[in-house]
Amino acid sequence: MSMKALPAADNSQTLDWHPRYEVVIGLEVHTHLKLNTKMFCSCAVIYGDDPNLQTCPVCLALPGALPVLNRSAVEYAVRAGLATNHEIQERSVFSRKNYFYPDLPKGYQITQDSLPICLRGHLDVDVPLNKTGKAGKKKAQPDGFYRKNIGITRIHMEEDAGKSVHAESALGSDDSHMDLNRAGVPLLEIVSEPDMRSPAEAAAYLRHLHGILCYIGITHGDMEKGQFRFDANLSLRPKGQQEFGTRTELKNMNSFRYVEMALNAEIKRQAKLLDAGEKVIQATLQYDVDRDEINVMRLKENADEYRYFPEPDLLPLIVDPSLIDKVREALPELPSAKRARFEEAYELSTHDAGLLTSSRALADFYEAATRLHGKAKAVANWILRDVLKVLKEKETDIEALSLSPEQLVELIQLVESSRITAKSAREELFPAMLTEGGKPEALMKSLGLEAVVDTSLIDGVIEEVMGENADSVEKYLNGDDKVLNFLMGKVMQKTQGKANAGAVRETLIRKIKG
Amino acid sequence: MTDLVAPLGSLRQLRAALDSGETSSVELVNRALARAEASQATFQIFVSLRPEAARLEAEAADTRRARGQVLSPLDGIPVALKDNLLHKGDLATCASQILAGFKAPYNGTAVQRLLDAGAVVVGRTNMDEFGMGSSNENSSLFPTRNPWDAQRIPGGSSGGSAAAVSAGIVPVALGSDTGGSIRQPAAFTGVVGLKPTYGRVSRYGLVAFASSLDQIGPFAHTAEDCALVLEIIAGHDPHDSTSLPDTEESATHFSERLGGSVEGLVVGLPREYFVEEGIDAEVLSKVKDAVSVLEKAGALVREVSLPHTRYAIATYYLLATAEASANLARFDGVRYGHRSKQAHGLLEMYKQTRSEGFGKEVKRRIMLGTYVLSAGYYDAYYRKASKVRTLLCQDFEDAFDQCDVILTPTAAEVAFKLGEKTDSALSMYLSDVFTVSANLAGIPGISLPCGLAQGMPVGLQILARPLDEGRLLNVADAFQRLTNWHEQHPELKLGAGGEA
Repeated sequence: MSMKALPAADNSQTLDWHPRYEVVIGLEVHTHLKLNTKMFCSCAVIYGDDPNLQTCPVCLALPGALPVLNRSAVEYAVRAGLATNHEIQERSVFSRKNYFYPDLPKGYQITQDSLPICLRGHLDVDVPLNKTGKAGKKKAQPDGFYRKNIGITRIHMEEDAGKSVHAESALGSDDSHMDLNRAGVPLLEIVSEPDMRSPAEAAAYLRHLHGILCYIGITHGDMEKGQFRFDANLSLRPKGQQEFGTRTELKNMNSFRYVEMALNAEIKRQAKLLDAGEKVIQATLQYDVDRDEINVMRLKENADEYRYFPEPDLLPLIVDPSLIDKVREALPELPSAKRARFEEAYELSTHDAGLLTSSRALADFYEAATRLHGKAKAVANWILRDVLKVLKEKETDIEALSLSPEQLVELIQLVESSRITAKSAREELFPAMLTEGGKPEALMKSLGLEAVVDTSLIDGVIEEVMGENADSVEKYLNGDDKVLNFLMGKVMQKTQGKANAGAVRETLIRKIKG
Repeated sequence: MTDLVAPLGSLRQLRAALDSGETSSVELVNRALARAEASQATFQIFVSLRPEAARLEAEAADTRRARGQVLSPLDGIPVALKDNLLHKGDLATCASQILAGFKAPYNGTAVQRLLDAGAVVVGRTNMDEFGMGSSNENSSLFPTRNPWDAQRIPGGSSGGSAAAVSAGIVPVALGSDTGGSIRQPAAFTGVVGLKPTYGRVSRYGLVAFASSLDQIGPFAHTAEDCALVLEIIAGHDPHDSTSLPDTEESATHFSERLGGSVEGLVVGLPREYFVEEGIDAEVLSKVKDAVSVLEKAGALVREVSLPHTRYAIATYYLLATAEASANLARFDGVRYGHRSKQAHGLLEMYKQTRSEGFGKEVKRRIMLGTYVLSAGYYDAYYRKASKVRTLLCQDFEDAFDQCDVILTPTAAEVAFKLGEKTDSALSMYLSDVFTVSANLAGIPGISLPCGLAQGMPVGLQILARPLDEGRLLNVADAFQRLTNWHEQHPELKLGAGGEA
């Protein structure tokens, strides 16, 4: 298949977001890696296990325990770096980030500081354009897209912390407990440049990045489990000013929708301060979704003091150029390239192509079905209308749905050959396929959903037969069911067997009883 | 019958006695325990003993020997461990109150290898808290005394392990050396102490003081005995990322390769170490005598230069304290060890726990290290020290272009008296002047007895290229075949209840 060249980003189209101020947003994303074991020990990564079962001397930070790097994490980091156009560093260094907190067993986090594994990346992000509103209600389809190039400063590898569990005070105690199952879980931190100029751009960047990371298989990206979470830095500056304004940091968000709401709320808050001639104070913030308001977690009057220094328990990380080549070759087609290809090859709108490529599995499903069926448009319509609706209702993804491309194609073909009406295919057969499984045709038959076809053609013949055999009609009305076969036989005779038996039967009964 | 509290002798002697059936492992372990207990009142060498377990293990060793299934040269031999080496189920306190009562839930790699070789751990030896000290006076429990003179310190921080061998309680003990913590107490107590190449012995299960400098090593009476122990504990460990890969170059078998001559060996004497000022004259003359012994045996002596030596102490104390400030952060009262009962709330809990749990010197070093890493000071201290470290490594590389081994005094003086240096941290720090460079450069070093001054042992330090323990041990072994300083032992004046 030919690849459509992506149009160059046109940053001049950036939406004018605020009448007086330019919005400046940078994002830090933390993503859990899809690995079986932790970053520096061989404990399993299991979500939802009983507290502290997945721990060992290393992740409990017992005296004398030492970290050993999970080599698969390195490959994942390289994959993420290449997929986001980074320069992979052949030599990078782990550092200790020192601070005290009970969920941080060693009293320092092993991370990468001044020498991370990936530097200087960027993404071309298609930002949806909503002509009518800004923060208002989202329309089902945007009015278009503009392409924006967003710089990514770096990607580095690090370990997650544990979790504080504040027990219900059933015993009247206010004790806190620690669950260290998550301590040491492998993470990538992806730090963008302050290149986004609106909440919509920020959300588009996050969705795009999330899509890529899931596509290349390095993360499950389950946002509810905290596998993809982000912090946003936001500042405003009067239009035309070069210098950045004072920024605040919105911490720990894990929803694309809420991040837009949170950023809008913070823009409003900062603009109000600036309008009143007041100063924005550097602070760490949290967004309260229910109240749509910003809460200050703590003021940052001084720079954070983490006393980074090179981790002496780990050697500098050397990435062999041959590994980089190997990973590059194995990299799958990325979502934006796939979407562009879909638009062209299957004649889809940008919006529809975007939906069909929203996950790699869905895109693969679509392509498999299209290959079987031959008509891209018909398959796209079914997926966009019916399959996606079910996925949304069931809050699941295509892999978890018991539906094969073969089944979907057969269903479409049944409709196309008028053996079933589109309405009953959609409302009865399709849901039944998802619960019962099996071949759609057999299922249709066993459920008696086969369509009444060509009634106009057979109506006349039936009336003719009924007139010629009035006695038989009378017998049937008096309860002799067997006579129906005789009448059907006459009709079939006259139509030379071309009529659909089901339709004939149904029409006969209706007309006799009518 | 053997006198129950008589000194045990060297590993070689004990192996011969076991092999000939003259003694048993049970007898050796009983003697080690009896002598440890008898000496405790005066010398306070051990922080804990494990008599029952040790006797059972000794019985098992005797059973193996009777069946002809001897595991190694250390099988059935009583040994002692420094209190910062994790031995599963046993206390591991680093002589600190913050780890009072803490029992190791796993075996460190070096300890595991000793156990796999059949060695019988009789007890754990006293140390400066977390390895921070040069005299054993920074133990939170009690100061260990020098077996040669109970008025004097045994050196530190592995003073207990050195004293345990010197006092004839065990033939072998393990210590750890961050800036001289094996070599200096070995010199002060008249035994052999070896700090291997950084990465030669796994640090897994060694409670970290300064991760880029720490290295586990043996104490024994002879270089040959040290070679045997090193063979067992050395080698790559997947649990320690800084442990060296097993290659031809890093191969062990040190003991098999002993017995060579020093004919033609080029011995370098660093000009910066042989200065009249700051070194005890008698110590200096004993070390010079030792050089003459090797020279007479055919070694070629030449002066070399280690020009950045004067910066070594400062560099060491900046880097070691920086690393320590992070390494000791895990002792926070949350998961194990001491937790203050006074405190309410998280911050107060941290403060109280660490104030109560750490001793004065440990707090001093944590604060120093925290300062060194702080924003605005990092470049001036930590980064600068890292650069000087590179220069010190270069010094050794250049020197080893001109010689095979480097000889120096291990310490500038003999063991000092208790309390003599406790008033000044600086003068205590300066006593590491000849040993810290080897840790900064990661090279192996050994200290062996080379005479007496004021009736106290004097240590000769030999340094070699990275991974050149083979040569190091050969030179030390040759020296010991030419001299008998290692056969001189202190006459212990055992305390009440333990009079021999």
